[in-house]
Amino acid sequence: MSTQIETTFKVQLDNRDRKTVFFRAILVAPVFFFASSFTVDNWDNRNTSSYGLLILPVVLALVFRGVYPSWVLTFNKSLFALVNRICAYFLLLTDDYPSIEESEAVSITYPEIDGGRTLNRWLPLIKWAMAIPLFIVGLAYTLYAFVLLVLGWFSILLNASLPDYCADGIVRTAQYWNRIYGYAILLVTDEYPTFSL
Amino acid sequence: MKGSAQKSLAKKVFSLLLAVVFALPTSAFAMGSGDKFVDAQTGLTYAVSRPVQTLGLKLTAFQLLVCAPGKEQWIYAKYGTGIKYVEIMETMAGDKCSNPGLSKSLDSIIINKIKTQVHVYCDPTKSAAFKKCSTADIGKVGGYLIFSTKPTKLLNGTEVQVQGMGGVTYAQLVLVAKSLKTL
Repeated sequence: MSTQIETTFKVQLDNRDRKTVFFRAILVAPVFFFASSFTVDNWDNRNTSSYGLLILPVVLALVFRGVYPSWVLTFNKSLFALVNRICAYFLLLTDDYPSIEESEAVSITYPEIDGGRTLNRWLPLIKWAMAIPLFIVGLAYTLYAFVLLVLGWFSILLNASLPDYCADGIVRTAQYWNRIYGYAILLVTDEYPTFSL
Repeated sequence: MKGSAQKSLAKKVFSLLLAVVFALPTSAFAMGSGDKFVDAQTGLTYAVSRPVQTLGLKLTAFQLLVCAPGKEQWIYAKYGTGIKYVEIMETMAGDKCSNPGLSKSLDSIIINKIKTQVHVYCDPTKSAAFKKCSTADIGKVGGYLIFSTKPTKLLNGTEVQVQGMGGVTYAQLVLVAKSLKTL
């Protein structure tokens, strides 16, 4: 077993709600703005890829003290779960509106880091650079997932069901990105993520 | 001469830095037996089971999770990625550590001489479909098998939940449950 972030999405395939799927991009806006409010300090820099996750404090704590502060980890886990719930809703995996409290719609399993003691102290300085090839491959997967999303959207509107292959491709792409985030942004693993979906 | 000596020293320092960066994490993973289930059993008083048959799905997540205060930790294992996966949850018999969600309880079956309850995740708000819901729907909406093993002389009994989602059929779920072996 790898020591990567593992994400489980509760996917609804049948009996989908056509109305909310049709207006999904509009309906997701309120909770999207709520999640975006965590990045309000970064708006000037147009830096939205971190979603408000605490990155620099983690890098400093790991490099200088060799620890991952538990309260920072708790915040990052909670915010990352919220972002994933929003993504699951926007990506048509579920019709349940994303909860801003803890919910079972998405569950994320994190590797054991023993307060940061199992993590290398220096890798946080170069992980962002090492992840560049993963980001490039990820963009290709995102394109693939987008095509599946459009197909899935039409399928739900016509048949009220999301095809297996659409859901599977979208979920695997989301899982792929989460593994990259676990490695390069959340810094909860030193194991280099696989390039495969 | 001085310049080449400096270059050599710089090379050594750089090599040492690289060695530190890439060698440190390996020491952290060198502990334990390498089998997550075996490692988990060492800290638990209830019997841990591991599936032999996993439908070709690889172990992708394993966690020891906190139950209620004063209760023992419980095991969560996930096999598979994407939408098709099997989850195995083990707790001390009698402890309620997780909420499986709303489901329809079907007739119980016997697996490995143990009475096993079958559940299917049909939506109770759709009453007509809910009434017709059967084991055949497990492949579509997911479901789980749940049973409790008896305590042995050394270890307490275990409540085991085997859950399948994203196309795992009832027959496959039974296959995984039948293959569970205590360590």
